Amino acid sequence: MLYTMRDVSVQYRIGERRVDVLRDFSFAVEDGEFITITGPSGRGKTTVLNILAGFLPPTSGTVLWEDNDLYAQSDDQTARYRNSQIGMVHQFFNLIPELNAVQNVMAPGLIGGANRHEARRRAEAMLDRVGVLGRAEHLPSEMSGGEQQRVAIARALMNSPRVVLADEPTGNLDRVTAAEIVALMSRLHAEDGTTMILVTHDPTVAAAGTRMIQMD
Amino acid sequence: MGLMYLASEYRRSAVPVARRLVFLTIVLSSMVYLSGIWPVMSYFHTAQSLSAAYVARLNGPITAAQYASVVASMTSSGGEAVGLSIGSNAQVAAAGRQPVEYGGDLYLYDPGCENAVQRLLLGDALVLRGSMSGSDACALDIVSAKRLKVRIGDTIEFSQLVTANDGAPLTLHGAGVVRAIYGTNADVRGLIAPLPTAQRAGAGGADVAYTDIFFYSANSDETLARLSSITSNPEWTIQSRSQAVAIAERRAVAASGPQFRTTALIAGLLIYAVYVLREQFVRIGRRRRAVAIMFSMGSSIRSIIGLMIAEQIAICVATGIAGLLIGKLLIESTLGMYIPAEATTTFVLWLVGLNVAALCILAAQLAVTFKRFPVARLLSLRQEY
Repeated sequence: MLYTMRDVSVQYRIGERRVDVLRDFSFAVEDGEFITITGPSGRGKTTVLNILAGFLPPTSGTVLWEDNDLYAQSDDQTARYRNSQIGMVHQFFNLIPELNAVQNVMAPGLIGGANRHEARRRAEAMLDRVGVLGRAEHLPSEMSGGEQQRVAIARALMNSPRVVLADEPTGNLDRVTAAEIVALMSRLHAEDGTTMILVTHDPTVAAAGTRMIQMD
Repeated sequence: MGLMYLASEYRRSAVPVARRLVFLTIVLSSMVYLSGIWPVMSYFHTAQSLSAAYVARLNGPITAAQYASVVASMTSSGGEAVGLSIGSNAQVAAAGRQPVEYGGDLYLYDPGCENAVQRLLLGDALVLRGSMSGSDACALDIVSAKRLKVRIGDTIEFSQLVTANDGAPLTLHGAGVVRAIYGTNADVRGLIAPLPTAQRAGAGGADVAYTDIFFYSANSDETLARLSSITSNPEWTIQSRSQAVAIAERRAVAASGPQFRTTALIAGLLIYAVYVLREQFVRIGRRRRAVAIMFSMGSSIRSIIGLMIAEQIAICVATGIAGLLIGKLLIESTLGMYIPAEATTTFVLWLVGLNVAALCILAAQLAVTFKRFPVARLLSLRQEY
């Protein structure tokens, strides 16, 4: 198993009040799956992704990454895990506005210790693969939403991660562009066999996965 | 990655970055200047000697007639004499130190008493003005005296601009021991023997004790011979200009007080540190999003903080060196300006202007600093994702 979540709950305290964001959630992910998590707003879909990404320790329950407790790792181990094992795609792209497209894609490589030349070569290959190499020197503010999301996907794949975690990747795009992005992710999954975990509330997008988890 | 980000950010916002660096440099250099300028301010009093090659000094008895001869020699020296100053501590010095006890008000000769108080508060030498007659003496009340830490028995130094008998302006430098007096002119006259009184006494044949005369000259041997001849006094000594300046500097530094300067410099550095921190916090606030994205891509918090500390050290080194050099340069430039203490309005306006400007900048920046101190944002950084 790549991921195993057992009886995971997340609670927030707002003053005296306790808010359950996620309650006794369990699921497992096998290597190479394309999982879509869907459901109405407020059911904890994004919370699940944040837990898997190592951002949010659960209030209770266990989260295993390849049978090891994800939250028993040191900060450095967690940072390495985020850098080399996962790639993230966000609804609002989350590109660094000061960096151009190729620099944004290079970033995970440089953080992982790649040299600048190698990182640039690979970043350009990734941009080419997602179809925006022509925008390599453009800033995020100079690109459309669809192009920015392609750059974000290229960045997510830069270090050849085992898993791509995508949080509403089409939520900020029009229908046509959204379909293109989903098709791109499906293609990349098919080509590389990278595990995809995609959160969406769009049934059309949810249908693109090989397994759908409904959170009600 | 961090360097690429910083390079990119700096390249894309070169003007604001340059403005910030210049600003930090100005902050530090102005602080260095303000803390270093105090000795310089006192040093202005000795500026007259800067134009002389030698300074002849007599510290001993001289009669009014001899004094007049010295003054006359200035005009007949063919340009050799470049200045003359005379001070008299007269009978007060001879009287020696008195027991420390307050019996009433202290009286000092100064028609602009507030000015004297202000000067002392600024750490400057006390400047006394007026005709030195008892009628325009100025009372320094006990409260002010206490505030200024002037106590009976203290030795004080002063400079005074007067008009000599020939109408030429003269700067008097003097020193004396502060005594308690009770408000009568007779008491006042006993405090520091004024020049007219000394001259009147000299005309009657009496020596004026402990008169201190500085004669600024372009030639050492001739000056010494001339003055000794005029006054028949072998007690004239001569110093080179560099010796005189060195002595004056030491006195100026002593007057401004090493503790005060150290305190001022530390305060300046603290203010600079506040500015630097403010800059960094503002910067972190602006980079919050980029930092969060880097964090999500696998940067550790430690590496991000390390990068920012390294950046801050680089900024501090760059602006620190520039600020120190510029501050030192400003001080040295000021030394060469010769703003005479006698030009009171210019001098005081200059001082007040400097201090007001510094305080305004400080107040404005501190207000902005505390308004934009985004500690809460920093603490919530981990919750960004």
